[in-house]
Amino acid sequence: MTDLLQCIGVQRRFGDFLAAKGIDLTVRHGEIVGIIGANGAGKTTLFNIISGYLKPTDGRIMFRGMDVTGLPPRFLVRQGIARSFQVPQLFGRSTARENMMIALSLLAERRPSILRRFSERGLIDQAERVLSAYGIGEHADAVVANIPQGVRKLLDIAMATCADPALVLLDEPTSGVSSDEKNQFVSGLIERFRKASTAVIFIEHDMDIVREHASRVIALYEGRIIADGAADVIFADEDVIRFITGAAGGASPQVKDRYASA
Amino acid sequence: MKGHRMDWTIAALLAVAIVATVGAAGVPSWIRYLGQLSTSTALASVGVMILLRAGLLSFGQSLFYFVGGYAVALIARYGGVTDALALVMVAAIAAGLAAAIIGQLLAGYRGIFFSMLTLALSMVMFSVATKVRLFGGSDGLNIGLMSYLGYRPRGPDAQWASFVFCIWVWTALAIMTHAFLRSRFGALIPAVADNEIRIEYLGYSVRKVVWVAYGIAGMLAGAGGALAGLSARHVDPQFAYWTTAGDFIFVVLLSGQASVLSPALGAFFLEILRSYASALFPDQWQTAFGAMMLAIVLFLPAGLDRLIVLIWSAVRKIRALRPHTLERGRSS
Repeated sequence: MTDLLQCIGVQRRFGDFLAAKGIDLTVRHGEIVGIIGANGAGKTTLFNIISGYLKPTDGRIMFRGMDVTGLPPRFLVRQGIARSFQVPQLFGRSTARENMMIALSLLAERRPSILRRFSERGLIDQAERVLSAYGIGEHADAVVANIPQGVRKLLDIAMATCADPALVLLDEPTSGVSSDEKNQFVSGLIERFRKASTAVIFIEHDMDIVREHASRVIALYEGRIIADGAADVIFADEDVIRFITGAAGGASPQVKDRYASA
Repeated sequence: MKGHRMDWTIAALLAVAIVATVGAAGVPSWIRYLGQLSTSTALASVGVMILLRAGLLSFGQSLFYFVGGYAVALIARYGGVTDALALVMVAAIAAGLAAAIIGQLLAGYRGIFFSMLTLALSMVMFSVATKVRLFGGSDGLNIGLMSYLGYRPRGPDAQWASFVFCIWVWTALAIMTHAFLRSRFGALIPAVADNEIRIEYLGYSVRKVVWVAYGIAGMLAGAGGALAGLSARHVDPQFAYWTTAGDFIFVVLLSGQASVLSPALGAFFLEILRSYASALFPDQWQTAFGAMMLAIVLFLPAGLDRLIVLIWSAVRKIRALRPHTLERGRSS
C-alpha cells in the first residue's frame, strides 16, 4: 500500500518553545496508529499541524503524495483529513440532529446544495441514520449543551467523519468517557473505521486501550518521536517506560517507590 | 422533491401585506405613515438581526441606510429616474456592494472590535455627508414624486401608493430573507456564533459566512434607507448618524430574533412609542424609551416575539390536551 500521510522534518515553534522538533512520520492507508506521550509532549500540536490548524515553522506535510503544508483545515478536510477534538467542538445551541445536519450539508453534500432548504426531509433522515449508527439516536432532539460528555464525544466524531475521510485524527476519544465504557467505546469506533479501511491516528492516555487497538504506536516526548513501531515493542522500550508509561499511570514500581519514600 | 408544508412565516407576511393593502384606505393617514416608516426601519433591523444571530453587533447599519437613501435622492435628482421600484433596487444593490467591500475588511473582526469599526465607518460617512455639496450638506436632499411602474399618483393617492409600495417591498424582501435564513447557508449563521472552529473543520469558510451575512444586512439596510427617503421625500446626513443605527439595534432587542417578522413588530412598536412619547412628554421622550428598554431587558429578555412564541406553544398544548380533559370531565 502507498503512503497516505507523510510528515517530513516538521517543526513548530511557539516563541522560544519548540513544540515539535523535527517530526518524521509516515502513515499508510488503513493503518491504526496510537500516539502516546505525557501532557505537553506535543501530541495535540502534531494534530493541529497535520489537520492544517497550525502552520509548521519548518518541514513539510504530504497527503496522498500532494504537498499540503500550510493549507487550512477547510481544504484538508475536503481532501480527506478528518479530526475530532479532545473537547468536543459542537454548535452548543442546536440539537444533536441539527449539528449532524450542518455537518452533512457541508461535508457530505455537494457544494451547490448549500442554498437548499435546511430542514429538508432528506437531510433530516440522513442525520438520523448517522446518529443511530453511532447509537446516539435517542439524543437527536436534545440541545447539545445539555447532553452527556460521552454522547458529545461521539457526535463530535460522527460529524467530523461523515464524509468517509481517508485519515481520521482522534484527539483523546475516551476523555470524559467513564472508565468501564472506554474499551467498548473505542472498539466500536475502531471497528467502524477498520471496515471502511480508514486510517486512524488516535491520541490516548489509557495504555491498555492503545495496546489493544493500535496496530502501531508512536511515542512522543518533548516534541520528538522517541519510539515508533508495533505495540508490544514500544511498551517494552526503555525510553518509553522511563518517559511515558512509567510516569503516566502511576502504576509502575519506580513511581510508587518515589512517592512512598517522599 | 421539496416538502410542500405550509410555511407560516411566509403566510403571515403575505397576510400582513394583504390586510395592509386592503385596509390602507380605511386607516387614518398618520397610522399609515407610521406603518410606512416601520417598513424601512424593519428592513434595516432584519439586517441587524441576521448579524446578531452570527454573534455580531453592528453599530453601523446606518451607513448602508444612508447609502440607500442617498442613492435614491441622487439618482432621482441627477438621473431623472422617478420609478420607485427601479430606485429601490439600485439603492439596495449600491448598499449591498458597499457592504461587500467593507465586509472584506470587517469579516476578520469579532466582538467589540467589529462593533466599533462599524460605528466608526458610519460616523465617517456622516461627517463627510454634512460637508459635501453634492449631498446637500447638513440640509440633505429633497426627493420628488415617484411613479410606480408607470402609475403616477398625485395628491392623497400619492401617499396611499407610497404606503402600499413600501409594504410590498418589505414583504418581498422579508420573504427572500426568510428563504435565505432557512437555507443550509442560513443555518451556518448562528453556527458562526456557536463554534467557528467546527465550521472550518467541516470544510467551510467562516469568513465567507460573515461576509455574506454582512453583505445581505447592508443590502437590506440600503433598501430600508431607500424606502425611508421615498416616504419622507427627503434624506439628510442623520441617516448615517449612530442614533439611527441605535434605533435598529433597539428594534431587534425589543422584538427578539425569532423570525423576519419580529423586527417589523419591533419597528412598528418603536414608531408608535416614539410618536406617543414625544407627544406626551416632549422633553422626556428618551426617558420613556429607556424605561421601555429596561422593562424588556428585565422581564422579557428574549424580546417581544417571545410572547408570541409562548402563546403559540400554549395554544398547541391546549389543543393537544383538550380531548384528554374532556374525557376526564365526562367520567367524573
